[in-house]
Amino acid sequence: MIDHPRRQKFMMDMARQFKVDGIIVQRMKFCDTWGGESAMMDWDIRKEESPTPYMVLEREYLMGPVGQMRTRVQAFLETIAG
Amino acid sequence: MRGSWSVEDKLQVHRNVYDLLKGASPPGILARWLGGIFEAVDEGRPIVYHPFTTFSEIMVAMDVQPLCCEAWDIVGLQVDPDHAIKSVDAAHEAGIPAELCSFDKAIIGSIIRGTMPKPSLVVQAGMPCQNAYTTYQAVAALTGAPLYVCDTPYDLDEEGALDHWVNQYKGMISFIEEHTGKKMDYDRLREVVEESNRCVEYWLEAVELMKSIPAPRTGPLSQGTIAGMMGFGTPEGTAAMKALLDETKDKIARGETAIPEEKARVIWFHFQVMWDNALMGFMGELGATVPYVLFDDFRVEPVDTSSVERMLRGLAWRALQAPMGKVGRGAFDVLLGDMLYAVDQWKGDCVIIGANPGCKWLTGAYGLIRDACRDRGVPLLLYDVDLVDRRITSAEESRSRIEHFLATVMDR
Repeated sequence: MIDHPRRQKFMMDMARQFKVDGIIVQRMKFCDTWGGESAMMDWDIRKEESPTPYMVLEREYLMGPVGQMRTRVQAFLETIAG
Repeated sequence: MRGSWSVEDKLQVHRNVYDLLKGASPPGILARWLGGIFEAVDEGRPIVYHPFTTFSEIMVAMDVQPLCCEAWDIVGLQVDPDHAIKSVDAAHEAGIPAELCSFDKAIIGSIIRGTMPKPSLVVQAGMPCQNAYTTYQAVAALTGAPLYVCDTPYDLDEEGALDHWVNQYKGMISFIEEHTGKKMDYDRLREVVEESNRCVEYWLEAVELMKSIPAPRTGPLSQGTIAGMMGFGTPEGTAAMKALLDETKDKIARGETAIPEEKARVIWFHFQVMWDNALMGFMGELGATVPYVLFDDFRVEPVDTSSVERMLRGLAWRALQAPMGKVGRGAFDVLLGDMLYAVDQWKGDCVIIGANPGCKWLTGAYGLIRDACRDRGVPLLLYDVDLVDRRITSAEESRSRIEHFLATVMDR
């Protein structure tokens, strides 16, 4: 639950290793732990010289709103491509 | 993203409070705490952030300035009703999810706004809830200050759990030593703990007096928890608690009661609505007293100071009993047991829980709380009211819910 810097480093190492063009962090609605974490990841990414595009995808525990999620991811991918 | 620290103007709300209080003789606990913080800011001395569940004896003994973040925002809220709202909005704008507890969003937002002095270190005793874990990590991320979080056991009955916790608590001392260059003087810690023992003794006695029927006063006693947050082990903290105890004793001796006719006694099983200080008075006008508030519930023995090991073990144990820390960190049976104990001991006619929307550990147990009260035949009001942000439920709506509920209780 603690040690955000280690998680951040892991995520950024993965991003570099796999040469990604964007990062999606999904979190459950009402999950405080990942709610805070996803904001902190955003703050850290913004500090980078050329920040990797980043999106927080909030979802529910059940997979009801799949359409909305797809729309959000699609918009994010279009942003990266643009 | 970092908070901005142009200290002079942004700390003005709290400086104004300090200016109002510092002339008192002797200075009170709040004046001492604010004065210490502003001195530390001005002189560049270490400030240690901590949550309200991490009492301040260790910091007082090490002569580093404690700053309880929740207390800082509550003080701001007493002077400027919009203080917390501005901070909550700043946290939202920075990406902090709206469903986080408002106490925590206010802390994060206050740092972003620069209305809280910058810390040198952040310590967190791993309580009371996940919101706090998240928040103090965010605080460290925003300020760049080193962070120490104790790993709090979920189940103290598990073998080795208490030893693990004591070692975690001791680690806080090593952490402060490492990052401030100061060494703990255990003789000084003994003095501080003996002082905090006196404060706790007065606190417990005052809480015990609130069992009197009719109640001598209504609403939170506050001084005990405030002393715990702002300066446990300082003469000012002890004096504040003793003054409250003496006043309560005098009221009882004179036969004075909180209200002329006590028609209902309310167990308020959460922290009070921080932006509506007049709420308890309003309930008094309806004929209800509040002899018990979770904020005051601290069931402990004096810490044994006969050896360093016993003293540290006692402090660590006492930390686990912090109001809300005790009931918020593990299995929910503890909360249910304490709630029903409060009903029995303080002779409550009903229970009211002003449930902070961000308080998910509580929200998740609404059903259990209802069942427990129903089984005992205790009327219960569980209603949504943000304890920090007055925009969620207005004072009128909050009071209306309480008024209707109390009417049914008094009709029984």
